[in-house]
Amino acid sequence: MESLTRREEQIMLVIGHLKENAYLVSIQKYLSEITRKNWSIGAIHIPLRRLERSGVIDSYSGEATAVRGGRRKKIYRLTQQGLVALEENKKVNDILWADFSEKIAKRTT
Amino acid sequence: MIYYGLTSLRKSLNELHKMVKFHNSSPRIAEKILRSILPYDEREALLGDFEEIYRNLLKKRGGLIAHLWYWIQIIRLFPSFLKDCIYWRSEMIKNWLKIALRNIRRHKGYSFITTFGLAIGMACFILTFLWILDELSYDRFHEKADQIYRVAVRAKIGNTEINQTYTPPPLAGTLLTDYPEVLHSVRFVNYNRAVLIKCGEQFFNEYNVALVDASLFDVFTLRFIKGDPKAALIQPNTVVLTEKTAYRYFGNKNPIKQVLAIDNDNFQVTGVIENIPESSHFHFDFFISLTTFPGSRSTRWGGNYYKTYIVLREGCSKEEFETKLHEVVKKYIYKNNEDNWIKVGNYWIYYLQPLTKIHLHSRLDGEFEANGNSSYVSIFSMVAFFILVMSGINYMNLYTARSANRAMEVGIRKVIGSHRSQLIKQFLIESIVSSSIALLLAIAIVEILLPSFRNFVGKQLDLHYFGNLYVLPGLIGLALVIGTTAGAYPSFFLSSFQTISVLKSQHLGRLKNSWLRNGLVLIQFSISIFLIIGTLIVFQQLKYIQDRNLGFNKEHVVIIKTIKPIGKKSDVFKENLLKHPFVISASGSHSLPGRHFENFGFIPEGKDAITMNLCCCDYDFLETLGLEMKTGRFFSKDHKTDYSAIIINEAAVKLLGWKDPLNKYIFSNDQNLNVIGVVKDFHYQSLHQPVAPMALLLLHGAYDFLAENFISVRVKPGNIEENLKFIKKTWEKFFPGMPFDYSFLDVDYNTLYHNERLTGKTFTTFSLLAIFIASLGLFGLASLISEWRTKEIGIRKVFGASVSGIVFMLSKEFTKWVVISNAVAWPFAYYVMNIWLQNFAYRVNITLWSFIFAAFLSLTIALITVSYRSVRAAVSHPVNALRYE
Repeated sequence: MESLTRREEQIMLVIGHLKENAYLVSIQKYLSEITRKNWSIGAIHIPLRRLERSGVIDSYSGEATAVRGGRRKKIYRLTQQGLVALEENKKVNDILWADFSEKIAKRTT
Repeated sequence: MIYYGLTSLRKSLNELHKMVKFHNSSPRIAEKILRSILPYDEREALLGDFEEIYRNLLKKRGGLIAHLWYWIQIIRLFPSFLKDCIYWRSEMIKNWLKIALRNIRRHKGYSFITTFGLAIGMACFILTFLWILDELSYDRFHEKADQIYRVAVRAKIGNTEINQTYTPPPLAGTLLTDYPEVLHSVRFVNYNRAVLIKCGEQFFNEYNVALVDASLFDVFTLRFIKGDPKAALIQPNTVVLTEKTAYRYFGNKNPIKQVLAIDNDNFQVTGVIENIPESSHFHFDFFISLTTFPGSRSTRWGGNYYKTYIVLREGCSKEEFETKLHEVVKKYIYKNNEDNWIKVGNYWIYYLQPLTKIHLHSRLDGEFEANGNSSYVSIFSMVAFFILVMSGINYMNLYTARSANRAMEVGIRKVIGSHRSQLIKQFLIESIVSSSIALLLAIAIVEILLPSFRNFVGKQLDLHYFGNLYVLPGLIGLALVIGTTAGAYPSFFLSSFQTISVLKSQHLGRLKNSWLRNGLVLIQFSISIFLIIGTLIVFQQLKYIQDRNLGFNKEHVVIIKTIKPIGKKSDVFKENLLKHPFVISASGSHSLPGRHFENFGFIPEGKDAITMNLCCCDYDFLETLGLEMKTGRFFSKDHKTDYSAIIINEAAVKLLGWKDPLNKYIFSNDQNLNVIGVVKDFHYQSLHQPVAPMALLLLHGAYDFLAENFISVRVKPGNIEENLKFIKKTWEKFFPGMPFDYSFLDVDYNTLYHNERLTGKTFTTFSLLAIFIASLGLFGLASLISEWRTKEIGIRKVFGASVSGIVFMLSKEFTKWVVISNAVAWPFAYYVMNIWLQNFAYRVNITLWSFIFAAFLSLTIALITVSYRSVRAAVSHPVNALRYE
């Protein structure tokens, strides 16, 4: 399976964090808040589509609210495959970081 | 994109003012746009997301920002939306193309019929179009083409209506000096006969010789290769040649300052111009300076023999200047005596002919050469269009009929989720593929046919693919237009199938009784029948022209074109010819039937002046041409006074209303002429016109300036080569060095009907094509129908139907439609051909026979085509038929 990009990884993590409230607007809001920069809709929607197509996340229809003009939310959740992919990613990341930390440690000493 | 973005932004700002106060929800128009470009599966959710963000913004930062945001989102969506569109479109088109090619390959027979038919139609169209373009391009190569006009005359004097290009000598100069609108003017005089040119010791007969003013090159764009256009024709006795003529006479020598003897006068070559393009209404090879002839400085307004061309200043309207021409008429022609002219019903009008219209629209006395004819342009283009329509119909018809085979595909595509518009596009693309293949075929056909087509129309036509910016796009456009129009109906029809009924095979019943399909067969056959009738009538008329008693015998007459001056020597020559046993008679004359006769004024005893065509001839003219006398006698050597005698024809007698014309006097050219006889009318002009009044005089008589231009020799039939050899030998003995330039009277006379013969040929070709295409279509339809009815035929045979009964059953339907198309085509054909026949003063009556023959022919062809398939279906073994499907 393909490895995830950093952005995809971030989005998937946010989906995991937001749980039942993980839809486009909330993801955008949350990411914008924690990274302190403005994420456009496209910047989130396009990775979401890609992720959904590759099967690491899926979606279902949520409740409709008046704020949305009576339209349903499309709520995303991680699939089993997604969790595996995240784990894989984390493993690679950890190795890389560990590697990196050792080197930094050496240089600073 | 940017433009769209800006306008939508502006629109949105306008919206804003209206909406912000009243609505809490997202802008409606923007939402609609958004809805239409968002992917279907996520549309609702995304719209919801947008709405939510919008409302958040609305709350936090106000309506303006929220609206702007919404619209900007949409604008930012567009590029990727477009990209998606193009990508998926092209994927789909790839698929459609594949299916189209597969279908063409799978049904080779039908594809061939439709594509080949279409190709023939297109080829016809392209060829005709080439010809029409050429006809329309005449005289456009002159730089001032749109400002050049020819001054022509429309007048009536006494019994004669004048429509001519001949104008008086001072007209050109007067217009130039008196009217500032006129930039340049030029006069032409052309010889109506061959001119003898001597170069070194060699003689040539030349026909394309003109006398012109030096301003010729200011008016027309004729480029000089050698010499100075400003000075070339100013001096007397100078001549400018075309390139090919210069080469013919002088080879590679420098022609400038060489000397040519033209009619025994020496001329110096002062210039060589490029050959005159084919698409010009004159093709002279020699331009002689008019200053050579003192007569050119004449200020007489009476004699009309110059052709006058003027260049109007830019922005001058033709109509305005024509009113000024009327002033000229008042001053110089009416001589302030207008009332006298008008009183007796006479008038004289100068008008302008735009240069570019001369070739197609002008048919006056004194054209330089036979011009084209706009009505032929319309006939040709109409017929070519018919053929194209017919082949398009073929395509439509077979395609619709074949839809039974495609119905399942349509059903399944629909089930899978194909939209109707997609199906329409698919079938349109299929038909465009077919028409593109047809276009390639058509181009091949055009290339094959071009040489014979050139021969046919007598023109150098070419299809230059890259010569012109319009050619290739035009051809591709043709394929596209035909593909779309011919494919439009089938694609709408096919895509309209209801999925369920298609999959249940319920559609077939509906297909079999298509009114439209039969209607199209009807149109095709109506066109074919019309063309058959047209062909028959054109040929009847041509035969009538050929066979009609012309009043003279045009067979077995050799014509020698003489060059002046042969004088009295011609009598001895003629006498010598008569020594040969095969020569029956020989006669000299100024003109001959089928050629131009000069028109002069005559004042008959006790009557008003009339004009008559004048024929100057010698004593043997009557016998040589086989004319007959009504009363009186012909000129005779026994009567010394015959030089002041005149013979008129029946038409002249009728015009004058004389009961007994003999021994009456007619005054003309300062002489009193005694009427000694009346000759029976003979058709010295084409049968388009009634026989006009004519006067015959002896050569060297009252009109002694009319020279003996032709010697006609009547010979006994048979061994024409031997006779010619003898005549040639005698000619060379008497006129050494003079070219022996001969022709035959019947051939010359028949050139009058060149256009009619061309029409005849066109009609024949086109009607053959039309029948061929119609039969192709019918054949395809018949095969399809017998295929559909295979099972029915099988069952009928099991129950004991005979082969002939089944053939009859299958043919019946088509026969019915062919009969109806006869009924449609007959009145139309009658109407159109009647108009065509009005061109002739002497014409055949339209008989019922040509109509019945056309009906018979169309029925036979239809039956043969249909029965070929239906017999095959009828004789096949019923078991095979029942196993079918």
